[in-house]
Amino acid sequence: MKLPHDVSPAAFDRAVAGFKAAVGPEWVFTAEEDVALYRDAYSPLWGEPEERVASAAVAPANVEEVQAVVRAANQARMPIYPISTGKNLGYGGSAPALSGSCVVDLKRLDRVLDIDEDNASVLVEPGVSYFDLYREIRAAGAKLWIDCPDPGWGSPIGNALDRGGGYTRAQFRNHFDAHCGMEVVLPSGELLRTGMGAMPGAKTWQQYKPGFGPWIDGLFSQSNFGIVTKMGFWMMPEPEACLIGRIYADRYEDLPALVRILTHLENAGIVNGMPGLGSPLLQRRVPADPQGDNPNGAAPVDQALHDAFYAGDSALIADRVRQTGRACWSALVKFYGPEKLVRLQWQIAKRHFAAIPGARAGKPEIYGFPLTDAQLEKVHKPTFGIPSLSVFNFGIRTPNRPEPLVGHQAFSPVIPRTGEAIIEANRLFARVLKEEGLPVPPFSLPGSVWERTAMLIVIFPVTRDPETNRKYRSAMRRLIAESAKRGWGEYRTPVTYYDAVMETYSFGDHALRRFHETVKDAIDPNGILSPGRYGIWPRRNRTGGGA
Amino acid sequence: MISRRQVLVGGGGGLAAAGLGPAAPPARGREMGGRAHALALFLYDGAIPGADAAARVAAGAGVPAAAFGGDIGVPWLELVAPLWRAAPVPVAGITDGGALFCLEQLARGHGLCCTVRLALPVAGAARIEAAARALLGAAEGAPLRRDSAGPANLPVAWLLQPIARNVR
Ligand SMILES: Cc1cc2nc3c(=O)[nH]c(=O)nc-3n(C[C@H](O)[C@H](O)[C@H](O)COP(=O)(O)OP(=O)(O)OC[C@H]3O[C@@H](n4cnc5c(N)ncnc54)[C@H](O)[C@@H]3O)c2cc1C
Repeated sequence: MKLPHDVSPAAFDRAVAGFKAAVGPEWVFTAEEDVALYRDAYSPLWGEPEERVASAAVAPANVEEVQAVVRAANQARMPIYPISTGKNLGYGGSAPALSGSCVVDLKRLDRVLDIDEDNASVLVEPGVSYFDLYREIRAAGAKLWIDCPDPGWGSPIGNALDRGGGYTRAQFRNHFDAHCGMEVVLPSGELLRTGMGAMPGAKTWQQYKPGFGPWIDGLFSQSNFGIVTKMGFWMMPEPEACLIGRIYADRYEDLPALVRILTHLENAGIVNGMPGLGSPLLQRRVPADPQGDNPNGAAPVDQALHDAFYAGDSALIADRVRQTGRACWSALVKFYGPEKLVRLQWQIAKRHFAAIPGARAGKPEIYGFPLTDAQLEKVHKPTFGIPSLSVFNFGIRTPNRPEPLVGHQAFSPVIPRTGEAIIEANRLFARVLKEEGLPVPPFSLPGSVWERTAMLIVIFPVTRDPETNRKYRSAMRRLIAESAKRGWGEYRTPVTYYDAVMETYSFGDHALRRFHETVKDAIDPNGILSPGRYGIWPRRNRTGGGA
Repeated sequence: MISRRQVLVGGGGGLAAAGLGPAAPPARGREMGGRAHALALFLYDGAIPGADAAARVAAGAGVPAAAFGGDIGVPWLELVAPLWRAAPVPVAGITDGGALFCLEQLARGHGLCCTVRLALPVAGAARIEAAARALLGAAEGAPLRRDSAGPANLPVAWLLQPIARNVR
């Protein structure tokens, strides 16, 4: 068993005894096979001495037990690490940021406390998963949609606190922005409610977000300042219809205009679903081979074409567009609302895109609700408020990636939403990977989860081979540093890179990090809560005591 | 092509076809000459050639079998989660590696782990039938770790059994 360097076995035993007194001995886990359940299956440090692992886990059943666990941790100065459903794969799973911490597993706090159809809001506990919430909303007969990430296995609270994202309208797919009011156990064990919840008997906790005075909710996201035990969320009322349309543009030079118009349409509220960008020319498919190496029909990378995209060789690209009849770029626009209205919005959007010479629209898809079984087979369910695990259907091996892998880590910087930045970022990432001796990734288009910005994601494999993992870790660190030189920062990162990313947010001689540390020392003087999460270390770990 | 609806076939208790509505969780094992099989559910991906042979083997042993197509989230929501909310009972299946990966992650929260994992490079009724029999046998015995993990996009026969303690 691994313990933090400044926790003695005697202190650990005292903590475990305190936890047992707080929650009952059956809810404290110290046996190796029980604690192994909290290993991060996607750890890029798997099997290496630096892999983050827990020493124990404790599972309180209610807020009072959470408070008692926190007090026991303070008495023994034992680091604890709360998780909601613990499915943060790609960003740490359920393993702690500081090895040897005790995981506080909140899955037993699993009540949906309120579903208010008129206010289109819910109040949930941390152990409620997206699947659970979907089931309960259906059971209540409420016409509300959840907004969930690709895998529905996580929780609204865990995902929002890590500032994750989904797929519907902007105000819902930004999961932290969609919250309204929280209840938090502070590192002292004291209980706090934010927003209107600070007023005893408040009638508008899930209606009005800020309450009175400084709005502190953001302090509890991507941080280690409290354990959230309740959180309200605004839900999307089920729309009458959804229209999905595509615009195609043939010239390489069209990208900046396409992005500018798309962003304007979103900012103006004309496009109210998640916009998307693609390249039909690059996204070639071949017949799938379900039992073989290519279950999804991904075509082998056409290197010459990707090189042309990197180099901006518009003549070669124009040739390929002519030969294949495939457009160079596509913009995806989605509209939710009454059918008449979404059809009108689509017409208006098309008028805007007509400013691009030669731009043309594809035939739109229109959906009414509930979806039919046949539609459910084909659609991307989270776009329609339905939790799913289909993202894992993708075969792990493809012709472009023959080696078996066990997971992924993502480099996901926020870049300006402009055609120019998209091309510049692709070029930078290709150069860095080449210099690191790694395969150059295919030219790619960014996601648009967050309004006004783009997120160009580079996915690296996680394997069980330490040498391969080491190479990709080194590339990740270089990408973080090189991107920061251009003013692009990560929105979220695997635990292994917390410090490297926080290092890049260095304006004013790291004024932000020093502020975080000042808050941390003030509210968590024993440094017990999630030390190291998002690069925030308590005083006891700051001088050589980190991970 | 198999529909994405769950179809509970066989099962000595005579489980009817279950629609997509919230399905009643199948009872743990079915009475077979007065004895319930340890396995509570057998899941199989209908897109795997010959996988329905597994359903027949399971039905013969009185174990409810459910087919799904593609999204493992559907049987998770409708069948497995309700089962495990009641008790961490063994579940077996023949699926692709991605579906097993999801169930393994979800199983952790209930103290279940994958104890048997047989890669099926060549699917087909005879091979699948043999794998299903092996799983049924293993489920009746003490948990053993027989991991022969193959590439994740190949069919795999697996057994999830409660071997650890966890929160639910
Ligand atoms: C293939 C794949 C696709 C993915 N797609 C997406 C996607 O589309 N969008 C997306 O956002 N993510 C995505 N993810 C990442 C991840 O699966 C989800 O974000 C998932 O919802 C996070 O897990 P969780 O909800 O169980 O949160 P947890 O793991 O429970 O929480 C995340 C972290 O937040 C902190 N925390 C959690 N609960 C509390 C609490 N109550 N109090 C204080 N701190 C707390 C902890 O530090 C914890 O480690 C994807 C992952 C994979 C593997």
